[in-house]
Amino acid sequence: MPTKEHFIQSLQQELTPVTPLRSPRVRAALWSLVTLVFSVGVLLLTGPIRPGAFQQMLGVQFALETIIGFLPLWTASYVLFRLNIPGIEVSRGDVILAFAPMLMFLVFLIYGLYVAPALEPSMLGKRHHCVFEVLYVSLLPLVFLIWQLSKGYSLYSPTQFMLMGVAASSVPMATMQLVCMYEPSHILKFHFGPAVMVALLTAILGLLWMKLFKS
Amino acid sequence: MGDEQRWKELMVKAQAGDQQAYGQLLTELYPVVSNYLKKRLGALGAEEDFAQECLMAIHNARHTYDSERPFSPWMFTVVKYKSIDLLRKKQRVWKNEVADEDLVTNAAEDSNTKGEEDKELVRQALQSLPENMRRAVELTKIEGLSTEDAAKKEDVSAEALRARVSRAYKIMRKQLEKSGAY
Repeated sequence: MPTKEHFIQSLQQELTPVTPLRSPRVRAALWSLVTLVFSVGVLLLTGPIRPGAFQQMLGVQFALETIIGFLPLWTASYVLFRLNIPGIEVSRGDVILAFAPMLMFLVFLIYGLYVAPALEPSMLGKRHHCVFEVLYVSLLPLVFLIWQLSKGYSLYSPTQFMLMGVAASSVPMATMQLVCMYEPSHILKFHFGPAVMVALLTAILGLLWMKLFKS
Repeated sequence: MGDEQRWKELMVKAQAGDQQAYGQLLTELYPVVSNYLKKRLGALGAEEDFAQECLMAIHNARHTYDSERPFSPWMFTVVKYKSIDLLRKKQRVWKNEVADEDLVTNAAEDSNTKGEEDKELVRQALQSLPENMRRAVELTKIEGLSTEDAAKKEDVSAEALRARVSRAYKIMRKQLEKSGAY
């Protein structure tokens, strides 16, 4: 172990000017915008919008359900970028709020499944590979998010890894509301399911990474 | 001017590349970080190592400091995160300690493995350790004292002695790996 003086001297000599990171709000907004454009863009390039989908947005339940589906993009990424800057307080409530839209989306789907669906269930606009589309469209935003977060200083935890997965997969999941068929059980299995899978896989891989490289 | 305001200004200058300001900041932070770690992790007896690791973390994370925010919460969060990371690592070392201990002991005692040559390598590795670590290993492994008794004899806490033994095994393991005995 070098002496205190040598140690400080060596850090002093290594010093180079650095540009402070932008605020979490700006970083989250930039990431969200890029993710939104990319994910929606890819899904629109690979298939059409369901006929009448925009008119259906005039229905309150469907509009709420869809908007709530998009919300984790912001709620999860904003908390992640806040956690990425040491000294910014993030309460447990903030973390719960970040996950909340995903849970609300699930509640809407269950309500639609057992009580009253937001739209009349139909096969109109069905995409044959929507489950895979949600998975692969999430990947690039997830990698981009990890890269952005690597610029800051986080104490990574399973919760943070899950938030990363939720943030990245929420846009393809919610976009499917407009570009794939509407039927609550289909959405649960093939849109919501893979989004949850992305979150869980991210948490598992994150834990593995921590075990291998951080301990 | 209070510490908080001065540190903030020094860090802003450091972010711009001012080495003198940075040296002053680190010199002022070193005892603060050491005391913080001593209070929190004193029982581990590794606060000096941890203090340097934490200052290194502050160095690497300096671009995350926002001059619009107070300095101390930022610094203590970096130190807290780093010490949690270090404790995670240490936990793993402790888990491996039993395995290391057995391997080092076996290499020293088991004449059926590679014989006298290995014993000599272990003796050499032991002799090359810093005095306090060598004593810790000798007392617990050669004289057979319990950690508590050895700690009393060395006038340190049991945790500090454990930390010394653990670090000693780590160093010996590396040396034995280099020499091919392990």
